[in-house]
Amino acid sequence: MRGLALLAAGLLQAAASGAPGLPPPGPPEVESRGGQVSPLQALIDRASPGDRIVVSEGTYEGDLVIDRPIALVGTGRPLLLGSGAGSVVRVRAADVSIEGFDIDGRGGGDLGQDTSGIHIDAPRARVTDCHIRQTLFGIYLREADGAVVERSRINGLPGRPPGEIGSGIHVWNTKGFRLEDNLIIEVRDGLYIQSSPGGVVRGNTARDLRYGIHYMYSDDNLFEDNTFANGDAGAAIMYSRRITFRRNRFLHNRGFASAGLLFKECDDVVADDNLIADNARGIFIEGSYRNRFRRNIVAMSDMALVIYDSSGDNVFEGNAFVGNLTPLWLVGRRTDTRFTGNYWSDQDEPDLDGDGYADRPYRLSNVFDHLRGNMTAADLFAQGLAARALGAAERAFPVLDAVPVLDERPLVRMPALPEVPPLTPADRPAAARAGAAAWPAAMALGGAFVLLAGGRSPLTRRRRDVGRRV
Amino acid sequence: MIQYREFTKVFGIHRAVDALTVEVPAGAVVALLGPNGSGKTTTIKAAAGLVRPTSGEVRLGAEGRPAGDAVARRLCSFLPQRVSFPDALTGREVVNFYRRLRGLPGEATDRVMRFASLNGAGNRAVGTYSGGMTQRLGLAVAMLPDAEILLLDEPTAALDPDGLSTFDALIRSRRQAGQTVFFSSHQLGDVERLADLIVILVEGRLAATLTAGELAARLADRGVMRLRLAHAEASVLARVQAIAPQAVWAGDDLLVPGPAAARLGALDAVRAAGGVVEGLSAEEGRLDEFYRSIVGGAT
Amino acid sequence: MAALWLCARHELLLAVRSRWLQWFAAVFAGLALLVASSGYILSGGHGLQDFARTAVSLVQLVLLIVPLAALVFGALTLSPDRGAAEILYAQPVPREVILAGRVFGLFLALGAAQLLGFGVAGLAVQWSAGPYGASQFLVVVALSLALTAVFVTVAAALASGEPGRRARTLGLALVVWFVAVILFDLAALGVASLLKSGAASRLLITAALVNPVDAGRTAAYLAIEGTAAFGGASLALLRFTGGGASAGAMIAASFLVWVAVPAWIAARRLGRADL
Repeated sequence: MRGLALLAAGLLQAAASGAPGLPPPGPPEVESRGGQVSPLQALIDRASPGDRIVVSEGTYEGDLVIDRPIALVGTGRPLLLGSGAGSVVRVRAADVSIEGFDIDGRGGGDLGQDTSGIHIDAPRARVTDCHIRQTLFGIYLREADGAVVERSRINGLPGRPPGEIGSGIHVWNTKGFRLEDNLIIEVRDGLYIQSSPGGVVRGNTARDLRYGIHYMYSDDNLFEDNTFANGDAGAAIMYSRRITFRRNRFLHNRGFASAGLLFKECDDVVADDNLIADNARGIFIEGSYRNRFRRNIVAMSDMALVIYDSSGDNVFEGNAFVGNLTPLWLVGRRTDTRFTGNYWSDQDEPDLDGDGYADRPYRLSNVFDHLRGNMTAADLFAQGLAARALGAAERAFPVLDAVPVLDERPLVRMPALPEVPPLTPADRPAAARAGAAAWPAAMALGGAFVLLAGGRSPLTRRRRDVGRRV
Repeated sequence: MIQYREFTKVFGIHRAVDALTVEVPAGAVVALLGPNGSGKTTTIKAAAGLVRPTSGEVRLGAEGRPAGDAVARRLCSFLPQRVSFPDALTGREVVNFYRRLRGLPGEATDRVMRFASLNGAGNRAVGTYSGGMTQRLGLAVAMLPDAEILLLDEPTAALDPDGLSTFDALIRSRRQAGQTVFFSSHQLGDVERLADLIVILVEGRLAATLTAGELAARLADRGVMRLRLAHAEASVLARVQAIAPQAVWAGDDLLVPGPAAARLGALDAVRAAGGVVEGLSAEEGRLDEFYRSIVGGAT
Repeated sequence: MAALWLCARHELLLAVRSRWLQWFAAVFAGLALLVASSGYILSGGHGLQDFARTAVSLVQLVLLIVPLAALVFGALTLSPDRGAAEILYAQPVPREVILAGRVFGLFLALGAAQLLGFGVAGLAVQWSAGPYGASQFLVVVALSLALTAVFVTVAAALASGEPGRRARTLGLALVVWFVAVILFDLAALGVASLLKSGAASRLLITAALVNPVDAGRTAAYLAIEGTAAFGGASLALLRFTGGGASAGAMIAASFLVWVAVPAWIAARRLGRADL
């Protein structure tokens, strides 16, 4: 348990490396650094503010700096092939919009210089329908208040460790941004938002990465209708307040100590109608206060909840906890987390008065909390039948657990949660989907064959001397 | 050839067979006779290698291999008293399994199925068989190998009439082939009909070894002649008692116990005394009395 | 060897035609399917579980059902029935060979029934969720087969006595099952709670390797989920055993011992029995 806590702490520390107090991002590049200049640069240099430059199909090698408020529009998906020495497109003027480009950074650049597909250091930029690949950062918003990124795709650098690549969309010190309907794959963090209040993140998908969305010191944010899958955490929300999120999906975060939702020192968060499914830990909460979770589904986790006793005043109301191996791992002695009106799929108390709530409270705490106190290895038995028997005994004779964690009014039926988005087969990571195997069929056929062949009486078919060899 | 030397088998505190020393000679049909619980089954099973001697030994064949040895079991074929086979198999499948276990060619199945009058039922599940048919199937399995020694435990007890004729035919053919048959029974009919030699076991001990003729004579010695006379006259009894001292009246019947050889004389005596014989019957000695007498030492 | 194979196929044939095995195959497939789809049912239509998740849930099912089926089935079929055993063991094949063949045939039958069940469940999951986590699923299949091997031989050891004690053997088999799946763990936890921390950990880790059900669970969870399976206990286990490879080797050795020792006892008991 201690080892796990240490590891979790290490994870959090690593996540905090972009926080204030740590070195801020490097100075924005203004001149290209010895890299090739794009042939489009001349068009931009001639343009007047408010101009709309239309770029036709083709490959344009070299980097580009946009230093005046213009619209750059690609038709037939022109490719901007960067020099590999720095950001491919740099936006250095307000009210720039870029639409319809493929952008390739050739995997080059410098993490310390924030080398990006599109690097924006000006307010009110708009990026629409751009496909960015082979870059350290996808789109970097640096003090870019009111920026909008929509319908874009970012494919990072597959196979590189998180420490050597940047985030899909990196937001720093930006107010009132909007990120919508983007798809982000194989980057460090899908959406990294630091010191940036008042943003809206909606309808994005981020998968095969470290954190799907990662807030640091960013208050008053909203994210909804997103999917975060197959990472170390779906959402990591740290040192931030008053974040609201709803109808998101946090899926398949199955690595060691991975979590669907990870809260560290963040307060007054409201989480409604989210689907948090198939994670090693569903929701991980440390040092966080006054957060509310309503009508979420937490399903198929090893542990639905991990709550440190450094947290307080958190409320879970009307959620459904379905098919989790353990409802709660309480780290510490006690918690004031309030559970009420939730559905727990392993709750087996009857509802005799028919009010929809079980007649007795549901106990989330486990007798193993006591055994674990001085026996780390007791966890080896936590999934066994003996543990369940002890749990049942504990519920019948509550002498062991002095301070139980209870849901006072557990629902007896799974509530209808129409707002929660469903889990669909299309949610599988691409890598794992590849090579659909026929082995279950082979296995079923193998079993059936043995049984059928056995049933067809091999004894009458073949003639071979047996006794003579004995 | 089967040799028992000081064969003793103890089950718990029960001494089933006690220091049995006897030889079943090669080429003979030998019956093991004795009352229920006398240790016949244990003795036969010891030869089949199913029961391990507590002490002493049981050896098979000319080489005298221990019966518990799997190789020795190649020499013999055993049919238990009440055989059972898996209900789900057909008769033919059962026979085929044992045939292959013995390493015999495929035609053996047809041969034994015909022999046991089961060729019509071969493709039916054993679960549908009657008790007699099941036992015949056991007989078919037992006759599969052309084994030197055939061991049969109470073979006639559970057989139906078809089975009995099959059994008789089997024994006769084995005798002709010069093979050894060792079977247990408590029915005198089987023994007299089939056996060359009779081993009598009482309470786990060898009581006697007799030829078929000797057994018949011994039993006849314990027989009774019953004469129904027209008139019960005291003079008749006196004349008969001169020859057969144990003769008594039983109502109108005159009972004359004793060896068969004395009966003719007794009959003559009755006639000489003026007795009119209206009926005559003779009963051979009963086996249980016979066992009691040989254990008691009076032979 | 040929006689062994013949006996195995004979037993397989009997098993396939027995209603017991047919029921087992059907119930097992049904349960596996139910487990695979329970995520779907319980979450109110939020998608079928994938293989990794199904695997974890299936481990519980396998740990309960497979030992029970192997013990009961083994006790019922391997207990010598007087009329049948006499003629079978009077054949010129060593008793141990016949027994080994029957045990193997039973293993084949149970294993094939399980494969069928897993395959059906696997097809259902793959059809609706894709092959994500397939290797974990195969871990459960391996676990299931290993437990079958262990408990069929244990059943053989229990059953290989004098004929006509089937009811007693069956009762004993149920006791063994109960001990293996629950009493052993309770006893280990109870004793450990009286010990000092270090000794308690050593006892519990040893217990988790010694009992085949626990060893199976430990191996399966570690293989499916890695060290996350038991949190710090995983690390304690790996430190105690000296790493993942040697932990695997110890668990494999535990299974082998659990097959070899009961097999030896069965052969010895049968060899000495009067049939």
